[in-house]
Amino acid sequence: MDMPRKHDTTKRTKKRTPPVRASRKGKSIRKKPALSGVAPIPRIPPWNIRISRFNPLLDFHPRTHDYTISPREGESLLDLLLRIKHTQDGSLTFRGSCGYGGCGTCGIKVHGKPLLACVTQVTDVVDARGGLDIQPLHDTIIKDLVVDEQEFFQKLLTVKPWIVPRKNDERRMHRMGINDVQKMGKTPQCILCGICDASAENQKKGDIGPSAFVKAYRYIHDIRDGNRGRLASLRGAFPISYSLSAANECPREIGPGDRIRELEGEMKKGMEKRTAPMESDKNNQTKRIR
Amino acid sequence: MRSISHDILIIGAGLAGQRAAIEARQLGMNVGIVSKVHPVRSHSVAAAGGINAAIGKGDDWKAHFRDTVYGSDFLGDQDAIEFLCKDAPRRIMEMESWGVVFSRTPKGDIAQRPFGGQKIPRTCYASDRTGHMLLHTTYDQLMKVHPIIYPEYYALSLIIEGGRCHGAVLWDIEKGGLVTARASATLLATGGYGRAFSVTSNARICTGDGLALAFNAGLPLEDMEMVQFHPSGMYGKGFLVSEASRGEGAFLLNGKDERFMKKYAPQTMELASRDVIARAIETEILQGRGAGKKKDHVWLDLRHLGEKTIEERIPEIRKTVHEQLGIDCTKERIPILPTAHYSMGGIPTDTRTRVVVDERNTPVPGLFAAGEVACVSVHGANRLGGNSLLETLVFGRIAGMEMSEYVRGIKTKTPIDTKRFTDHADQRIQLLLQNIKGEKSHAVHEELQHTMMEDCGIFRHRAGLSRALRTQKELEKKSLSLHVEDKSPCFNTNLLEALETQNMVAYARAIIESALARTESRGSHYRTDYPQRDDARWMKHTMAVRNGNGTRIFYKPVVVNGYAPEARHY
Repeated sequence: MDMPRKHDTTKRTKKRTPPVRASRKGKSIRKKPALSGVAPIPRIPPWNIRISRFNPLLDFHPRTHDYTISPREGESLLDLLLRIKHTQDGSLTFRGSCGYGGCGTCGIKVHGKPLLACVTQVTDVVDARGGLDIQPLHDTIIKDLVVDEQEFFQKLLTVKPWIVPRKNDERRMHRMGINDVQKMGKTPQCILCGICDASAENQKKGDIGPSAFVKAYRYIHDIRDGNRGRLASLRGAFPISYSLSAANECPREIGPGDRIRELEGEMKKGMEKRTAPMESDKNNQTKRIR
Repeated sequence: MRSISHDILIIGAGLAGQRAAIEARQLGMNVGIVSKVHPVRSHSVAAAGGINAAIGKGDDWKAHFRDTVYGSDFLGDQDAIEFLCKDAPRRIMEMESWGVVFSRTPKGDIAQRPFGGQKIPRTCYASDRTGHMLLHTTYDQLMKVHPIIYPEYYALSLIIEGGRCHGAVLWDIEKGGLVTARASATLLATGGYGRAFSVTSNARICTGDGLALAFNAGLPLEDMEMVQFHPSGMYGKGFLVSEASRGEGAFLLNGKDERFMKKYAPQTMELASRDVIARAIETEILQGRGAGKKKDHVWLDLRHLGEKTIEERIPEIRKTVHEQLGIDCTKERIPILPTAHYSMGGIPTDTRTRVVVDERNTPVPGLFAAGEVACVSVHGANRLGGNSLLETLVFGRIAGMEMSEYVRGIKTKTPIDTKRFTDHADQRIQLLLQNIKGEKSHAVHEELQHTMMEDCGIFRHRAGLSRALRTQKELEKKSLSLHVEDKSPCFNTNLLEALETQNMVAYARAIIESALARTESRGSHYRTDYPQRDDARWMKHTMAVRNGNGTRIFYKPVVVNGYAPEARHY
């Protein structure tokens, strides 16, 4: 980021609510200044945003473009990208939808680290000189920051991510204890954003990615699933070629790497999932509804 | 030009579209699903609080029916509501058997929480990410039946010839270029139009494109004036703070720290219906009892619930509020404001999801609609929380079945000339791509959003609505020649924004004119110049249809079957 620092021409907007936020790194929930009230305009240099660009019709390789923009507190990366698109360069292309980490659309790399743009505050990732380096999530680029997701979704299918009913009767409700639900951990919360897959470097073509393992974990530990061969079918996927600690990167804190390790352990123990009786397996598995 | 052909074409791959696809695939149909985003990115993920079904002890569908009709301010069609409520327990059991991880009671049954406007805890939930769980589980089931999915294709127009729908003209977003999609049956499941308002809980994709497809094809739109404002949107952001918070017992406080809902809904307090609470919040602010320095919001107080309950029942609220506002809701109050959330109105359909064109329910053969884009109408003038997810599943499934039956009934396929439609779509795209002057789409979009929010928001009156109509007419002219900076055909989101803006501006006319015509206050439609509900004159659905450059308004009777209108108090 050695480009000369230009002075921003856009007017520095007056403080809007919600105002200044201290850096919010770390897990602990910290207090921020009261929402109402006028905060002082922060004296920070304009941000220099370096964004990787690629137009399939013009470029052979991705190139970079630098944007200078006035800082705005309380802005997410997705908001920043939108602001650049709407005020400076309409052709800048990226994905983004819900804005609060629900849909998993806006995965990008910032300073080489994969993250969701909408739940990342710019002030948390911008470096001391106001520089920011934004790249697409992985190498299969369609345009600018938009990547091809086809392979990602194709990989999910390798673990057959759907329940195989044990008793095919939709009018019955399974009884599930709280422990049964907890067996799945946070895996049902996966939003398929692909951050873990992008973090797991050295992934070979054909490897089952971390998010596919998360799906597998979710159904293996679902007591309602009737596919007993699920765990065994993953045998060929081990040992894993990519770094499991890197694969732990997850905006939902599911810990895909740890889940893969658990699956490997379970397989090694030869622990078929339904050898031990479940909490709710007391002759009363289902309850008829009307 | 590329062309594709399927028995059934589904436009929109949210919960309703996916559910319909599964049903149709199971019935052996050749299904193509078109969506402008990948199916799991659909906005159904954002539904948080839950899904209603009378499966609890002491509850039955009749109670659910009465609450829904009462909540709709008697504008809902009661035959449709009856069907919805009767089918609800079956759909919940189905989703459970598909693997949705519902929250459970200590006994192991599906847990239910209280929700606004309902007398009994009836809302099944998966902590506060119910929509996400339902959508992802449904997507898994969808993968099992192998439909053909076209992710990132955008529908430009419907092919309607001889009063029959034959498919749609699509734009391939990734590669650029038009695609003719032929189908015997077409389903619109494109969702709502929250993005037409400046403060909204909706995602950027919620631009109501399906409504424009129908409106531009000369089909009517029903009850467009009925726009739901959710009481609790994050102040300054608009993101949703789920109704689950109030279901679990959160308080609403004004600037004087009073639980002001006691003035507006003494019996149900924070669990009144959404229209009532949204108006109460606005009234408090307008009368100077807002919170904060500017007195322009109110508080949602969760502190008394305790960290354990919050972490267990509504963890997403805590996470999102912290991420977006930097607030810890276990220790601080959340500043909130009403936010545009849901469109009760939409494309009129009968209870079998067939799109209809007049007061006698004459269907358009081959065209179906389900989910938020449709107006069956089960929500009438105000939707109850937890009924929208239910609607997508109940009517999504019906759409799948009806379309399959319809396709089977077709003896011969009539060859039609699609050139007229593709030429028109091509012209629209080329005009935008070749234009080197004109306004930027997002400027027009923002102006529309502000107009709609200011003059067609929670409180409406004739002067404001007339002003909105004038602005809309100007914007409609501007929207014809928007300036798209990006001239590349590939993944041109700039072009997409322009197309979406054109769509929004087009059906905004229907919203404003419908609101202008309804001279009463009912549910979410509140006219300060006509503050009373008027059953004698207005127990009818508004239908707005394009008529040359103007709009023609006509009316359709409400189906009342067993529950006559009465005064509504919470």
